[in-house]
Amino acid sequence: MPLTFIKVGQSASIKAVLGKDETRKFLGSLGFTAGESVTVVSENGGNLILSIKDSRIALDRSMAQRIQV
Amino acid sequence: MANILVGLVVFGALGAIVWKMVRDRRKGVGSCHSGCGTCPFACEKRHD
Amino acid sequence: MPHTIALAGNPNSGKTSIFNELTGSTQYVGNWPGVTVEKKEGYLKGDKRHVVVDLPGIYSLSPYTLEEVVTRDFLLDGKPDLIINVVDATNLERNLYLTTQLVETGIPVLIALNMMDILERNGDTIQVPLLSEALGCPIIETSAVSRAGLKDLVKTAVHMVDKAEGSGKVAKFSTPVEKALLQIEHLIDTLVPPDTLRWFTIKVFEHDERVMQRLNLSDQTAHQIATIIESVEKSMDDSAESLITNDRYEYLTGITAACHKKARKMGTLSTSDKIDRIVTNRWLALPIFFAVMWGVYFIAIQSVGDLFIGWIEWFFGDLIGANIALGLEAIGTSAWLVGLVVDGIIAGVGSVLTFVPQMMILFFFLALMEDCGYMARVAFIMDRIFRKFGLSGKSFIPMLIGTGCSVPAIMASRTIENQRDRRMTVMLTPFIPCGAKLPVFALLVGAFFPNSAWIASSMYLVGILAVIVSGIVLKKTKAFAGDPAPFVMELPSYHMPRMKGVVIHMWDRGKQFIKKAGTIIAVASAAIWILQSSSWSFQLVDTQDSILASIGRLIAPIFTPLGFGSWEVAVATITGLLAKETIVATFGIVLGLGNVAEGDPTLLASVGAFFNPISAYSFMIFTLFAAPCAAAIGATRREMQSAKWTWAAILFQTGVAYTAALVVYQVGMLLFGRGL
Repeated sequence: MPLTFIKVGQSASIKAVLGKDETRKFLGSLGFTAGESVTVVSENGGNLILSIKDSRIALDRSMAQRIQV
Repeated sequence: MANILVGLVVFGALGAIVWKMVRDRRKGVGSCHSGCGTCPFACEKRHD
Repeated sequence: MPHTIALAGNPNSGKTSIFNELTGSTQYVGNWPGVTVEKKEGYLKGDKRHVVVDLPGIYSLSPYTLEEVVTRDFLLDGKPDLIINVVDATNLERNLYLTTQLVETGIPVLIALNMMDILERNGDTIQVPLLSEALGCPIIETSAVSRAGLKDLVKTAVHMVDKAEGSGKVAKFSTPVEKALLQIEHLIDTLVPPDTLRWFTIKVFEHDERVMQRLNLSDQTAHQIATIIESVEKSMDDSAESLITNDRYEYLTGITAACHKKARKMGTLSTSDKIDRIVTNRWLALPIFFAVMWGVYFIAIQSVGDLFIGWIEWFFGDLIGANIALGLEAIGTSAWLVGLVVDGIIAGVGSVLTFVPQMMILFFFLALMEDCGYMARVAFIMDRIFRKFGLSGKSFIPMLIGTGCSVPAIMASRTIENQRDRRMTVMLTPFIPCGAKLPVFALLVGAFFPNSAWIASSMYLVGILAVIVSGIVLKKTKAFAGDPAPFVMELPSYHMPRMKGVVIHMWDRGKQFIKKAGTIIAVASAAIWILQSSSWSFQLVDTQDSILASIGRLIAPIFTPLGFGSWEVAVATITGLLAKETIVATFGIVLGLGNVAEGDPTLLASVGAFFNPISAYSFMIFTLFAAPCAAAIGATRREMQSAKWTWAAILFQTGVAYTAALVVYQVGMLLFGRGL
């Protein structure tokens, strides 16, 4: 299911990042790779703040939907 | 006499400011890297 | 020829701090991921044989962002002798992801393991010798804040450059990938220098457009390579570039697992995360943001800042102005020259400098909010709103910078990849009140609304509101229609503001403001005084018969429907095109700040004659939106790269200004006009 289904404060393991474009590559370099654990820190109108690999990444809703967990 | 002296100082100073602004602009250094000689904060480079 | 040392690293890893320490320069250090896309150079402190180049902060060497392209081109074509890779120890794995790519370029890499003090405070440990061994690169532990390790860093860097030592160990990928890489290597090894072969091979495997173009492969080779990649992709069921990313991280996980011990369990929330749950909360985020902005404006303009105004006016009027006038008259200077100096230059510059304390306080709080990490969150909060009208939260970063000055803000829009979004951001950024517009607001607020704190802070809200409304309208037109760019941004951790840095930042901006008053404002003041004291035949005349008055009267009717149709105010709106502070200087000169004995805020009192509270607010609105200053128009021209678009921006901004001011004045008079 997409990352947007995860509740604030919960963690999940990434299965895949959908799509095939520059943004996916960028997410990859930020650490969004298969098997990586990600925690939802905060949610604001579908936009998320995530904790991944010791850093906080802010994502908009459409990007978050492309991350499968 | 006083007029010439004061005038020289005042217009000299103003001229120097203008000259420096024009020169900085030409050189592209300005008060900032973009060559904008009049903007105070343009030098801020948000980097890192 | 001096040797070149390149500084590379992730955004917000402390690169610029290290650059400043190494070169002794004082570049401003921001606390949000990269905005400027240029590289900076400086000699090592006291050593002209080594040039240090500070590259934009990046996450990888793939050409996703402009910053990455700049860095990559420099590393490949600039041929630096050494890369100092600044690594944030508190985010080791992600930072080393870049390190492995830097090593592949074949350039020797020295790692500055930064923020070790914070890592230790968190209770984590890194076994540095082990890590150094695994990566094949020397590592120096540093802390740019406490300056620890910097001497060692310089010594090791110089030593490495002199000995021209080889590069570190390259990352090993999974067997199928390595096999494919080997095959590609054989196909291109005659085309690239042996040092960089590994890097080019991997990029070809990832099918990097720019690298492919650069290599200019024959059709046959290109076809062979495509076949190799295809077979791997098929057997591994993943795209080539994603295989590389995954393998690279896997390789790094293997290394860090051995030498990095974390005190905090994965998945638990840090203090920073707990703060985020409140300030970026769906319901609380906006109220908190507006409350913070209101508070900042209240303290800066209404409460503390206001205290100083009287003193400064006394200083320039009574002390400097009066005494210089006496002195000049005593040595027999003509009245007109005394007038030029005292009523022109000193009055103009003095009236602008009156607002220095307020500016300083405002800059202090903005710097504070940025340094502690809050400002970066604001972009995240705003993305939700911006997205509704099709603009990405990314556009809000230039607007945050715009609270200082529109020029760097407009330049910062360069990082927005989408051209439509970029144009719109350039057009709308000047709506956010910049530092130079502040004295105008402070002056009118002081004169008409001394007790209502929301008037000054409302300029911010009105600015943001105008951006949103304009966005909604512009997105309806063909030129701007389209989906917003995706928003992905790293947020820095919250930390206690470093007072030294905040004060330095405040002082830098304040200094620039004062410097501007002493240069362009001084010249403009002299010119305005001459224009307001002479007739078209260059005879000294009364102000009412001057060149300035006749120009002002010509254009004043345009502003009558807005509530400020006197020639003095009309002239001020025009001189404001030079720099927004000139509006205040113009009032200071035309209203004769220099003539009157000071003691009470005369500038405030005499401004009162030209406005009523409603037209004062209407004038503030007009100043907020109208065509920005010459410098910002220049920046617009450079970023738009088109005269047509520049004019469109100016006309749009001025149109919004006129309409908004008209509505404010007419509606305001209808509602509250009776009592005035």
